[in-house]
Amino acid sequence: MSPASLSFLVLLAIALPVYFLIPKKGRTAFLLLAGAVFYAFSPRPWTLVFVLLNIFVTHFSARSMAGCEGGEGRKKAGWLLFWGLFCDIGILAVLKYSGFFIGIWNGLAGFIAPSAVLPVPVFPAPMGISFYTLISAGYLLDCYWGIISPNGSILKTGLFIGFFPQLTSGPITRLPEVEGTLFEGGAFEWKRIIFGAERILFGFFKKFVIASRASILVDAVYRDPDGHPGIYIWTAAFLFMLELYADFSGCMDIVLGAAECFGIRLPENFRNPFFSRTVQEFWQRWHITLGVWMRDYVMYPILRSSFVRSLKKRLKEPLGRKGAERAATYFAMSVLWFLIGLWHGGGWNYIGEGIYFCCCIIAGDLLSARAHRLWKRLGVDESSFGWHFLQSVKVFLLVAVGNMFFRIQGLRRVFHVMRLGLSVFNPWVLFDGSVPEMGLSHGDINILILGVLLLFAAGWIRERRGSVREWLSRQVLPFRYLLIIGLFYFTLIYGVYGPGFESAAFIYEKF
Amino acid sequence: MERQEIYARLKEVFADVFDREVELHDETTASDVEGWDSLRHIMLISAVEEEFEIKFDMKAVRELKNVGAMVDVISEMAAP
Repeated sequence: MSPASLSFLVLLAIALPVYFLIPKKGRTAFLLLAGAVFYAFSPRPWTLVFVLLNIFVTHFSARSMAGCEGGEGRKKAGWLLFWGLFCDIGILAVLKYSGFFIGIWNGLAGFIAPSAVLPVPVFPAPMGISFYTLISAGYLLDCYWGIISPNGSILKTGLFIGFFPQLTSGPITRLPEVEGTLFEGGAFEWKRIIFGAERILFGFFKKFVIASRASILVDAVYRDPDGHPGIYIWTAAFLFMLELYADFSGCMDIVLGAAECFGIRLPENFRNPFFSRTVQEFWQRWHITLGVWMRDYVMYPILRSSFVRSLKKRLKEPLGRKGAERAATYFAMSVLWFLIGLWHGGGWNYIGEGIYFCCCIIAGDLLSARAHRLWKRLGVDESSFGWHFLQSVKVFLLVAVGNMFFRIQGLRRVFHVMRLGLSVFNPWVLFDGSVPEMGLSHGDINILILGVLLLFAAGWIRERRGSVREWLSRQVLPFRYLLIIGLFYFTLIYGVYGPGFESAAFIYEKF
Repeated sequence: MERQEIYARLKEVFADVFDREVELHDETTASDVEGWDSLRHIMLISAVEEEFEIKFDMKAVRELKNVGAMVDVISEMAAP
């Protein structure tokens, strides 16, 4: 079941009143039951067994760590952490990455010993495995470091790992962020239900009006890039950025809005990424919970490892203290970005994407002090709107190119498509009627432009005033309802739906 | 170690990491200092550890809410 489906809305409509009618004690179990229904109506419902295995392993490893104090106790806790992570990440590695790693092995074996070539297996990975595995691993590490105490009940651990709205696409939560509301929820409140519903509606608008429409042109170009060289390639790359943002942040709006209806507050995953001035800032505003997870559980431990400390000591003489510090940080960042690439999927194009963004961020960091000095000397006011706008356009272009690695399968193919983009100069095809022939009519283009303008207007309000819905709730009633009802009908009429009113899955659901 | 002495040494560490003088108070947080992002944060932690010859545990690294909390941890851990 996808969060952008009619069946999800039906499940929500049934679960909500029951949730508020039953005693608070039973709410955790009830949400788990709703999760089981959610899974039962998904493709391959039997893969729920892997989710349950993850919950059992995580819960009992964490519980057994409690009270492991002193030298021997810490050693035991270390072993429990190791086995917990080994099982959770092992399941992910086997189900999602065995094909990729065996492919690498076969590539090498092809040269050395052709008889050692192995058949490439295809395992059915459970929905959202990449998301809930990170949630479990973070939980185990937090318990080991003493940052949190393990849950007393397996039902709580189960809900923390498998709260159904966030099961397919995150956000990647940490216990202290959610435990206050997740295990009890709040009292029934109309305002919260309305706020949640408004957010769900905006999520549907992003998904069906913008993302699904933009994907028509993007898919047409990338299906046959050789037939669409030059400006088509770059138009598809820029449109894909909008598609991906509308798709993923739309999914998050539905997930966070649904959770809000239950009185559960989940962390935000997006904060107006297109308003960023640097690529680094972009990644602090885009898929925030993944970035925070990688920073806290990968980058910090690497930088604090004895290996990196000794590396820094060795580099201090040739590079100086600051240089050594920088080199160590860049090393940890490279590992982080390699893992972010790999997390997105077992493919060299994803790893290429990670390396690309890592290079952008390191280059930005190395050049920033010099750039600031240069702009100051040239009299550029870096706080002006115009400068901020130009910086944001630069970031958009850089990220759009990086996301070509994400969209196009196979590293060679990515470079081939980029070459095609530079092979001819044909900007006039955007105005000579070629675009409507690809499935996007003039009407569609107008709706897309209007949708994107609305998206940026909402982002602008959020950037300036904090919350669009708070802003909306302060407006006079007719204006407020005019906007909401208008958005509802606009989404209903101009949404691009698939057969049976079920859209294509969200892009991030495949993880 | 006196808080005043810790502050004096911290100011030097901050100046070194951020390439400029930074005003520090107990309530100063990352959002008050331009450029104090996650990357600078970890560089700062390493530089502070080196300056005071201490090692923060992961809990401290994650839960340092402001400069005052950092000074508290340093005064607890650093040798007099």
